[in-house]
Amino acid sequence: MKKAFIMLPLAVACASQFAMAATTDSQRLAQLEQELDMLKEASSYDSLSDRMSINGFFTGKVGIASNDAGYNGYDKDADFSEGSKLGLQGSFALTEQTKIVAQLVARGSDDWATEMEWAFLSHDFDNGFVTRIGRLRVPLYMYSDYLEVGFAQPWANPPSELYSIVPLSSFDGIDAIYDFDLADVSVTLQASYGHADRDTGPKLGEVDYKDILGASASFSYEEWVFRTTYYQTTLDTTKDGQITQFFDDEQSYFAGVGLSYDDGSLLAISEFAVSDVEGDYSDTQSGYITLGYRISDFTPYVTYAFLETTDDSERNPAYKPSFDWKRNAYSIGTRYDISSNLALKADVTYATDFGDTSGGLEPNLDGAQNQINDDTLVYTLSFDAVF
Amino acid sequence: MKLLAKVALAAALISGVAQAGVVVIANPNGPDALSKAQVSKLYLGKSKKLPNGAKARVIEQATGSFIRGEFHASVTGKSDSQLQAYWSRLVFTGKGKPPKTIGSASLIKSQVASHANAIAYIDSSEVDDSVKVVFTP
Repeated sequence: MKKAFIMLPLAVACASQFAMAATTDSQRLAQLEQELDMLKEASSYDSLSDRMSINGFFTGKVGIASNDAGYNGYDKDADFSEGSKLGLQGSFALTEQTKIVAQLVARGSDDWATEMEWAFLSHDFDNGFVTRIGRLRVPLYMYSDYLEVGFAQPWANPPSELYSIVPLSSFDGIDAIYDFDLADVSVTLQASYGHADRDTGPKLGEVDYKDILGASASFSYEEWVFRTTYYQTTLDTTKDGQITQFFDDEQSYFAGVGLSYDDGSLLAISEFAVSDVEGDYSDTQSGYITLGYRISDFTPYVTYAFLETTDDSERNPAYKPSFDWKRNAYSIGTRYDISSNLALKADVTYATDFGDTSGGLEPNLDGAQNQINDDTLVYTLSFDAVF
Repeated sequence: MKLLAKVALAAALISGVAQAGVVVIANPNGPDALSKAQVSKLYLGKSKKLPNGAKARVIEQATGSFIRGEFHASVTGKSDSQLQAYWSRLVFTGKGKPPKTIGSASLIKSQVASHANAIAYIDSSEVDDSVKVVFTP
């Protein structure tokens, strides 16, 4: 009772004071909040959160094919793991100009085993020159640098006629990048040197890519990007697969050109490449053209791609079934941007014109090394996110 | 006198409404003017420096906000999802990271007012003499 008497006048006093001062107090409060935000903002600028960043990407993909030819790894049974992946990238700035970047990727096709895709120390000389050392991407194609990041690509799958001819996505070594402007053209020059060891599968076993050396140049002007690249390496079998010592210090070359146009609505990308390996392994020429058009959140596209080997006549007949390739592929699909960091892509690809080859698809040979299917139809649905 | 003030105020309001739109701002000690190409390059990370050679501190508005859509539609020509795809190409190659995002115009102004190399965009109605307009798309 006593308490209530004491509390009541207090409450009344408080209430009246509140009522009178409501506007000025709320204004003051808003001002204080803003100042607090400013302080937080100011203190966070050079703090850990500003020097370190973590980004990720995810692709959830399902594919099914009309037969077991194995295009993009798909057969008659719906497959959710081939092509699905999760990546995490951390970037830590040591100084204003030096940073460490590492990217871990877990792929469904490898049972979600985690692999270090990138890990490098980069130094920016602040005059356009950047040098990087560690595990780096082999920059063979226009989309090589973000091959894993489905969200950054217009397609459900990059055209495998071109993107799968060199089964190497990263190497250990050093590179130098030089960015500069030539009038209105932004130029990027890149040169790399290093080596890589890869398990290429049951047929060829483990292969050492020695002395990987090459360069690329990219020119962007308004909506256009032109890119050209040349790389070479020496291939050496380090652990035999089904074929014994297939590579014995064999020289190989890769040269490619690409052109893209993107004005925000119309999208056109085309690349062409030739590869040449001494000995019986496939020498190839391949390319593709993609045309797309953005209509609000949809980007429908069509792609024509081709792949053929150019050294069939020189090949040891025993290796012809494995390394004579011929294939055309026609794709139609669309990207749908569900939100600003999530996209859904649907794609139908028809691969045909294999001639009497496997079409470059390893599962498409029977026990007698003869072609099984002379075409295949593949349906893919892919969710791609970045975060 | 009162009437005159009212007329002036009304005129200011009308002109303010008529002109309301996005403007690019800088610190009073920063660059005097930037071209559309320069602003676009700064916001796409293609150039990292201001015309005077200082490292630019570029500030973005929040993803999905109306003003961000309006700014990019007229300067870089990219939608939010195109920007996201664009930056993911740079982020996941370790080549760059998107500009810092600040969600309120008053905070943006205070950042620009206190950093000589800051570049930002706000609605023209928010402009005061703590910052200066360097480009109007």
